[in-house]
Amino acid sequence: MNPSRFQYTWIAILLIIIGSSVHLGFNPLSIIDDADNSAVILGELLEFDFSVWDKVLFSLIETLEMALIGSSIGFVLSIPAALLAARNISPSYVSVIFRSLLGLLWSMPPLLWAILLVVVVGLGPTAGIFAISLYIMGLSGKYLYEIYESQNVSAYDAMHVLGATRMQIAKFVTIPEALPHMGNQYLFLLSYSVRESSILGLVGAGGIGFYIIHHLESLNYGKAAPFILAILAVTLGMDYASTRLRKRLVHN
Amino acid sequence: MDALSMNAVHLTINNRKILSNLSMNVPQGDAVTIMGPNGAGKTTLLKVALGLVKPTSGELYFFGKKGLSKESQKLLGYIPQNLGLVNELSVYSNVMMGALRRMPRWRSITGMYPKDLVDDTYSLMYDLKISHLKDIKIKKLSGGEKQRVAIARTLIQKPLIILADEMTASLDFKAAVTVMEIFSEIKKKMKITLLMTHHNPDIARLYSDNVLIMMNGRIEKNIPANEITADTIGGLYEP
Repeated sequence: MNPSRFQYTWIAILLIIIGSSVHLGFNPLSIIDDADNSAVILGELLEFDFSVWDKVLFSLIETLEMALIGSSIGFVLSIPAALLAARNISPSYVSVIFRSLLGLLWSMPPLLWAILLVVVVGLGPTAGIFAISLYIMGLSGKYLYEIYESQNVSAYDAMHVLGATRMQIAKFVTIPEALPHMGNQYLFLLSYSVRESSILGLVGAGGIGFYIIHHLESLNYGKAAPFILAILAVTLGMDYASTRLRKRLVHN
Repeated sequence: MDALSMNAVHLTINNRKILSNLSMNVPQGDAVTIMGPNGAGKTTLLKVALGLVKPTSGELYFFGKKGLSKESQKLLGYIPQNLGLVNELSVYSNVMMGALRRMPRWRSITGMYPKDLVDDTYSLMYDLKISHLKDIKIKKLSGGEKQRVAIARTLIQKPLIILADEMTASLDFKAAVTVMEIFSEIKKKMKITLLMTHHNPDIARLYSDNVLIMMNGRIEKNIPANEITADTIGGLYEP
């Protein structure tokens, strides 16, 4: 790309951003205009009301359990689904079907899945677990089939010459070669799921989000604050722990 | 009798001639080396023989029989460029992988390998001096050790012809000679025909009977290996 084309591209992107802002009536200065409001809310949030500590603990554990179960189910299901979606392993018609399925699961955010699943299975963490599982299956599956497809071609050639079936190729080449990535990925997805689980309560699908929205809507900012603080601490803690574990995995 | 022969093989991909009227033969029990510059078509020739790439036209014969049938496929062993080993599996698993055709599918999937194959695997690892590495993952091995694992994986198939693509490319001369010495000894013992590609004239002279010079998708010359020197093939690698 020559420099002038490069510059035109950036100018076009800038114009689209400005156009979109005008279309939406977005005014970045409004945060300053409404500074008084923000200061009041922030002040009330900082008046932590720790009388709700038992509910904080209960909902935090529920959120972590939802994330653990949901991400584990989604991750485990994504391994065979990605095998069926990978072009170098599956017949093309099977690959197209499973790529579309994973794309569908991945393109809907967990909150939208949760809204649908609350209708299907009712209020509570079960809907949240299903929502996380479906989204993680799509996300992890998409990532995994890209890993499978980028593996060492000569190992596949050797297996074809040996007369290996698809299942044998998956067992001896595809899965073993992807294992280090999988461990890494599972930890990332787990930490990601904790963040996602924390907001599913907004639509009644269990977890700490239910209490946050309840107290915010009741204008009890002081009571909402310990829940927000708890989710912040757990998310950062999970992020830190998973980054360290992933580094150790890569090192080994 | 020829173990492998090709007659007027053509391969065109995207209007580009990769193999052009290629004819060659590899006598049974011989070791034949294909030499030629990068892009000459050496790897493609091997892939055509293995059935990994279908030629546009031409004929292939294995032990006098036309075409690559399922039966003749069982006679072929392959050591690909970069060896095609599975880095995350142990030496034992990689060698055992070569015996897929020799066991029922359910055994390969469950890992309940037949005793005779387990014995063969240990015996080959012993012959190739890799027994002590049995449980080590491939990614932790040196280049020479990996070559020996790749050879063991091919030999456990009990092939009659081995096609090896730049098998010693990543090794220094001393390590390459060590690997080739072990390989040649086993090759003689098992009466295997060997068709290999590489760039080293000394290895070609020491470990082949004949050298085929390949350029622009065809075999240009067939030279007895003892006549090969850096001078005789010097022109091959000049621009």
